[in-house]
Amino acid sequence: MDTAASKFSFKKVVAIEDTKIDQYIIQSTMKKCNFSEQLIVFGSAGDALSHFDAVDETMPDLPDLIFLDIHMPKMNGFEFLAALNEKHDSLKHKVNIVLLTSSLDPIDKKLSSEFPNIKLFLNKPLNTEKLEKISAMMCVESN
Amino acid sequence: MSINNKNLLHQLKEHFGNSIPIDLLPFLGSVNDVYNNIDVSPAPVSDALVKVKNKAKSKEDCGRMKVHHALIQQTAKTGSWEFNFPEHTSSDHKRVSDSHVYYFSDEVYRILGLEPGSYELSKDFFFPQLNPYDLGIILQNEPGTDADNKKYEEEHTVFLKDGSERVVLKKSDIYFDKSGFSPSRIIGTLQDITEKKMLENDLQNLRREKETILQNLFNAYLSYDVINSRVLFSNLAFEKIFEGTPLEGKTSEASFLSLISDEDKTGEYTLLRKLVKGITAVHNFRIRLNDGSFRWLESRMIPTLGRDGRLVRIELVANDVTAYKKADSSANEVKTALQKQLFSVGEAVLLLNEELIVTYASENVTRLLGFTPEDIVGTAIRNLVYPGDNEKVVVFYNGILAGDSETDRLAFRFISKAGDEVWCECVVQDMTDNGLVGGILTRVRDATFFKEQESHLISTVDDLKKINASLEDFVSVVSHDLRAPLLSMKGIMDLMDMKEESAPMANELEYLRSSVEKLDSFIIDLLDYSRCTRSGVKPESICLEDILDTTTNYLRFMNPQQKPVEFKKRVKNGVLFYSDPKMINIILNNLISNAIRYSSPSSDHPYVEVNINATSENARIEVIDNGIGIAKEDQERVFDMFYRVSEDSNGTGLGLHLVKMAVEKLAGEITIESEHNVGTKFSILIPNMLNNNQN
Repeated sequence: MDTAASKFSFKKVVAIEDTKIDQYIIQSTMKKCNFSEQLIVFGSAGDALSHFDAVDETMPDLPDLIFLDIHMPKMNGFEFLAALNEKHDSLKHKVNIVLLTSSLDPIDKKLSSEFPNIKLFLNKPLNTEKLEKISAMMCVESN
Repeated sequence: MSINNKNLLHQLKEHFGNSIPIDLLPFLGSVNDVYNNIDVSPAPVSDALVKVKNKAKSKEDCGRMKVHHALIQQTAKTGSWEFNFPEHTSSDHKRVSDSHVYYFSDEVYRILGLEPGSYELSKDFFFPQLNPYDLGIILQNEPGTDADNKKYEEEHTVFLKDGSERVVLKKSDIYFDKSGFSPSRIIGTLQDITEKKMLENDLQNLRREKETILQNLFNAYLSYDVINSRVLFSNLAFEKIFEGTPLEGKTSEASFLSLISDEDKTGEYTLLRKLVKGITAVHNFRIRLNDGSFRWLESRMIPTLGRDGRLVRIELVANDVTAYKKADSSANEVKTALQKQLFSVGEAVLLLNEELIVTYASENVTRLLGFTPEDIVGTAIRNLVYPGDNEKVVVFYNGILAGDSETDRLAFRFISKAGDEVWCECVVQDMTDNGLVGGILTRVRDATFFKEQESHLISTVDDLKKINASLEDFVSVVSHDLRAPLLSMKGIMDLMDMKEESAPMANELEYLRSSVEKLDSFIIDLLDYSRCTRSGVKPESICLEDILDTTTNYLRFMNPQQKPVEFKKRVKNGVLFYSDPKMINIILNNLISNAIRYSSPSSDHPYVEVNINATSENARIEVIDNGIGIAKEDQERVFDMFYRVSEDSNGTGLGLHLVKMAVEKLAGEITIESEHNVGTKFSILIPNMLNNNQN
């Protein structure tokens, strides 16, 4: 299993995505690329937030990456980030966020620059090239 | 002056003492002459002493008389003269003496411009000095021997040596001798009437001049004798303006006032009172012309009061102002209208001193603020201003006083007497150095209208901004919602691309289909939305039940993979019902499809129940389900555009917003009752538009 585990770029990735079809795409693509050993998908920002509420931030099983959609009902991506950063101050620096959105709105782009933990602003759909780019970037960063 | 008679001088000295009045000295010479001519008959020796005494006495009296006469003559400017005919002898009727005896008083000489006694007296004494024109007349009138012609009087001009002219009046009486046939002497007077004549001439000239002027006046002139009710004088213009002489022959006391037309008699009493008091009256009135039309006159009536204070004469000067009046009346209308306008927009004026205390307020401040000028004089401006504007007003005035203010006008709120805020625009000028004004001149104008306009404009701009922002949001959301399914489909295709050809792709196809459906339904909603926004309501006769059936039939197969939802309906129909079927369709379609989409997966028996109760007044439509329900906190926002409650991605966020829009278009109401995990009930009430349609 060691060899298998080493194939993965990341140990744990969380995706927050309301659309079923996009959840499917994320799951399928990541699986194809061996992107992450573990993938947790939340259908809404609220569900994800309550998950992180339960997580002790000192615990080592924090996700390496969170893929976050912007346009979601009730609580959108930015609202989620604001709430998360407020509740878990230390998470702000520990968890890297990748925005994954179909938005072309420049306001969204501008808003994303206000959150230091947003590392990337990606346009949908997710594909293998984009995942490889993330892997490369994150490895450089961690080194 | 020469005094050649020592006797007279002596007597005068006796009479006056040593101080003979200087006034008398000039006459002494002439008195002397006269004195010499007095006949002194010789008296018998026996009476010598008495006679001497008497003579002395009579000489004294005589001298006194002469002095008095001379004075009287000089004062009266009248000289006296005498002409004695030679005496006839009784026998041969021949004259005893050939020489006539003449006498001229000193005043005669003086009137003729001669030194008294300086000229030899003769019958022709006057002639050289007579006006040649008068000569013939005089010769003709020369007193003859005609006994009937005892008195005569003539007036003529004399030329003096210095070339000047004098008018004299000669009067004479002829005296006859005892026989009564021959004239013995003529005694006459010569009066200098030059001044009187000149005055008379002047007066006559003035009269003539006055008449000429009056006749040539364009103004009517009338001089009216009130006592005798007669016209003293009227000029040509009067006859022209009054079309004749209307007062001629009238004798009634009030006839002067009969000039004024009956229509304008209202001011008569005041007019009369003025005239009777001797006050000149300026009076405008109309006269009725022969053709029945009016003529407007502007007149000045000048009364003259007699010594007893009674009104004796009225002078009237009038001119025709009809044309002016006509022009004026139309100008007046404009003026009045303009004044009204001006008054309504008129500025009130306040004067403030350097402590910003009101020292003067114009009358119309009352109209603006309700306060009378007395109310606010003495009050500091900041006590009149709305508290919120106080600071800026004081800063502004201080800026004006310091001379460093950028503007001379400021809009701020006063507080009226009634306590209301009054927006005013003030134009301020520091005139404290101006002796006449001596304060800060503040012209206050009601700015309520402008402020209302301004706030209206601001709210319009705000509305537009909101609309613009919501349009931007709309575009942003729509473009996202249109693009998201496409990008998802692209993602699926990428996945399919990576799969081997033989690998099963049922999942991918299913996702593709749902994505296409989602896109399609979104586009349909958009079209509905556009229809709802832009098109008007087109009521027609509809059957609500038919629309419901069509909708349910279409939606029956909406979600084949989930548990089938039972349709129930209860319809009370059968009245003629008018409404817009497209709107009804939007309402039913969205509500029912929502009920299906959000049916509870845990429910054994999911259903949607539609109740319709249509009357001639309105239709009540209820859509009830036992689905997942809507949480209380979301119920308020479910009708908002793009508001999505559920994480289920199938909703467009437009559906309920469309329903609400459609209901409002139909002038109806919609309410929602819902409980999470129990169900939802939408109640709609829409009016029957049958009546609207008939209209």
